[in-house]
Amino acid sequence: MTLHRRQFLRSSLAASSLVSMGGATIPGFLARSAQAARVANPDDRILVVVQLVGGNDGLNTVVPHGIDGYVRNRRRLRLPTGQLHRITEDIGFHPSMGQMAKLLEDGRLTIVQGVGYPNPDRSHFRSMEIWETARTDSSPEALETGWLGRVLDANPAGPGSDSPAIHVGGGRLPLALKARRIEVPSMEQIDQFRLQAGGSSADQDSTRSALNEVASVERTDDPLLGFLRRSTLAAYESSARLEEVASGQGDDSNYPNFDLARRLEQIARIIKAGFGTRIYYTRQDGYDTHANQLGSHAALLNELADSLAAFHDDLAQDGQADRVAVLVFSEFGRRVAENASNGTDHGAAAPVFVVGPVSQAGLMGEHPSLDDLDEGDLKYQLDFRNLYASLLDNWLGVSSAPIVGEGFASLPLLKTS
Amino acid sequence: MRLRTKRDDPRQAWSPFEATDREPWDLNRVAHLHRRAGFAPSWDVLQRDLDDGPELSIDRLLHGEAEALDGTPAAQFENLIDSLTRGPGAAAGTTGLQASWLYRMIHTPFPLQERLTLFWHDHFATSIEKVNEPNLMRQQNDLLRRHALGSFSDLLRSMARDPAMLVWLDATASKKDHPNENYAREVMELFTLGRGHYSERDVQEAARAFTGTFVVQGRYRHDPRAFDAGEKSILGQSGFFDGDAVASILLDQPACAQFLCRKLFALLVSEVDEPSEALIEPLAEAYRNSGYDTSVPVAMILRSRLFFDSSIRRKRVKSPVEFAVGTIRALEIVSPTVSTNDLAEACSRMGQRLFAPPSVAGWDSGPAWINTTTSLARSNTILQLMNDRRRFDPEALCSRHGQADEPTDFFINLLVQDALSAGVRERITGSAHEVATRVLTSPEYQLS
Repeated sequence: MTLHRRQFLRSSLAASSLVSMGGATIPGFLARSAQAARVANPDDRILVVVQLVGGNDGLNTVVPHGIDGYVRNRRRLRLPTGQLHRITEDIGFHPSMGQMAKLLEDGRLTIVQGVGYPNPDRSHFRSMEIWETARTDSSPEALETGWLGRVLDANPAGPGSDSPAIHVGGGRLPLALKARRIEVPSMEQIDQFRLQAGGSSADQDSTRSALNEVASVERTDDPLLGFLRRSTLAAYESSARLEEVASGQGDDSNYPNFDLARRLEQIARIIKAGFGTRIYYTRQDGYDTHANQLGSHAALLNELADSLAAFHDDLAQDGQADRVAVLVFSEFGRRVAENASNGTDHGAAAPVFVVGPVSQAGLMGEHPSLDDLDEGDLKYQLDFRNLYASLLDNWLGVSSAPIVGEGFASLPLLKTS
Repeated sequence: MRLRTKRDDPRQAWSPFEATDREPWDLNRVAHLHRRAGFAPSWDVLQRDLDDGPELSIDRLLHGEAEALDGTPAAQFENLIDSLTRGPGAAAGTTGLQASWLYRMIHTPFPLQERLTLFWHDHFATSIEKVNEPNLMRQQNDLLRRHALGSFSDLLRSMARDPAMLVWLDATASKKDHPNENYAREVMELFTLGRGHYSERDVQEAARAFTGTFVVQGRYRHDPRAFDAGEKSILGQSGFFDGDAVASILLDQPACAQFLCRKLFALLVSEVDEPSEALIEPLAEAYRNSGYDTSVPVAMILRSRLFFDSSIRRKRVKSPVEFAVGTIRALEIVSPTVSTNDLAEACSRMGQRLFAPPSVAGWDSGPAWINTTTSLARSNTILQLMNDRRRFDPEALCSRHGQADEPTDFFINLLVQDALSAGVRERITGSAHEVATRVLTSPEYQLS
């Protein structure tokens, strides 16, 4: 683990010890109370973030086949023009992204070109930290919270309401969701997400209450122990609630057989079950394509496009598609020039996708120049914090300045009326 | 970090611990030593080391016990488990590898060596997800174990030639006209110096020194024709360097021993206190002076006053593997032990898939081990174990140690000692089975 990460964890523990969690454990955490609203307010808009981990090769995703320099830099990795899905005269989608092209045709997709930040860092971990914290400095304080975590801290959920954010997937909680005031739950599978106490149902109930009884005693002295206690209680509580969502399932799935599709399907279930959760986060791994990337990259993009399309269709059928915006980003793009292993090395700017009720379907911004480079990398055209600001100010209705800093104007990304 | 004593003074902190009336050699200290430097001890080991005192107890951890948990002499056990891992283990793919390593950890006469092997696996994190060859992963694991408490210099040099590592970092065909930067970057950022102690230029120059590296049919090959023999300038030194020369340059940087000792500090002392440079420097200096013999800083930590200071107790979160293996060793579920295939699955659900760390940075440890999914997985792992009456009988365990009448005291003393407040202790009631379940799922038991 990186020392940065350890610093961030340590400082977050220190911070959490200052926040009195009170006897209610988690503010309004999936608590089941008689007054709890069972159906979320339909006007509540939802943000789903899909993080492509490893650094996606933007040039072979949104392909500038007609722009001078693509062919010259991509002799072996060049994608055949005839198989691309047309976006404009000079630019097309990777051949395995037909479903993305369809979303575009339906007016549900904006492709923001050349997104990055000043002084790009080519370390995966550092660049992810920058995107996930929306801060370019790496002081311990900067690593204490993620950009979405700060949204949660600024808008605490009321008692008896649902968890304001959920991470769907394995591995660590994304830094983006790290908040000071709550522990955002992670889940891999709704079906796995329950306490498996054995025996009769009476036995199970007594086991559950025994475990809860030990965890619910206040621990005051030690921040690490306090954190463990809160997390344990949060796990038991959300387990109970999500089990109800799972038990109502049974219809055949229209999702393709991909991990990302399964995770998005879980998210759709929770949305359709009327949870009040407004922020969802999931990841797709494998984009660090240093060698022989053609085959693996095609498979990854196919998984991405088909999964996003299935998710969108599912929500549309349920009449929910206009409540949900999906943001798809990667920590950086790749070098413009391919390497000798039929792959690409770490780069800088890359395209970002927004799926949902977009104001303007198609390309946003200019494609970065393939000649005027910064140490072999594309120069960024738009700071990612402008995108965050747009999603916060206009979509989630949260003031962006305290979250991403001053001076990042919003863009008209999504229709909000 | 602020300790309750004057022990953030480095000289005091690292001076040898001696038992006194105020700081006696008691159950709390014995259990702490084993939690950090081994897994969790059985009741008999706890009692034996309580009688034998700190010196002998620490020596046994540093050099290993004479016998494995099933009574096999140590040398014989190692041979047996090696052949088991080479044959059926590797043949059964990822699960087989995970299961044989867990089996080794459960029975090992040398738990500290396994803890350090796990530490280096996290440090030189390599995943079978990409390597795809169980045999290459097994070879790397043998390499880590061979040098676990030995020479980091040898380990680092071997890593630059380790096929699993080279496949993982796409360095299987690095040629002079297109050097691959991946290994060069990670060797500085993650294996030796840490961020901020090298420049982009150093990475590019080091990448040239690592050219000529190939993996052909699972074996390391060096091809002089593809090697960039020109002059390189790395971290202020110029010369016609190759990969080995780069390793020497990195080991000579003051940042290198500091970086590694910080990680050892997190492993053995505390994950939540950030040690000052002054506190780390004596460890780093001893490490450098020994020519990077890892047993030197490890022994220095384990024998120190700081290590036995009550303020650093339970300042780490048990990793899933620590949690699982420690529980099984403490409860003496040895013959027969649990299915280690199932245990490997349980560890994955708790957030630690052996041989498949999430990235080249290894696992995020400390509080990052804990989220709602992994918390539930820990509770479920314990509940499953407690329902396996065929392998584990809590009443029989109490009786075996003459404590059938006092299951509460027995399980608290065995598993968490001084961790519980009076309020929590009140809730640890019922039969031996109920008491054990409550202790093993408590927030306190998740800490080391």
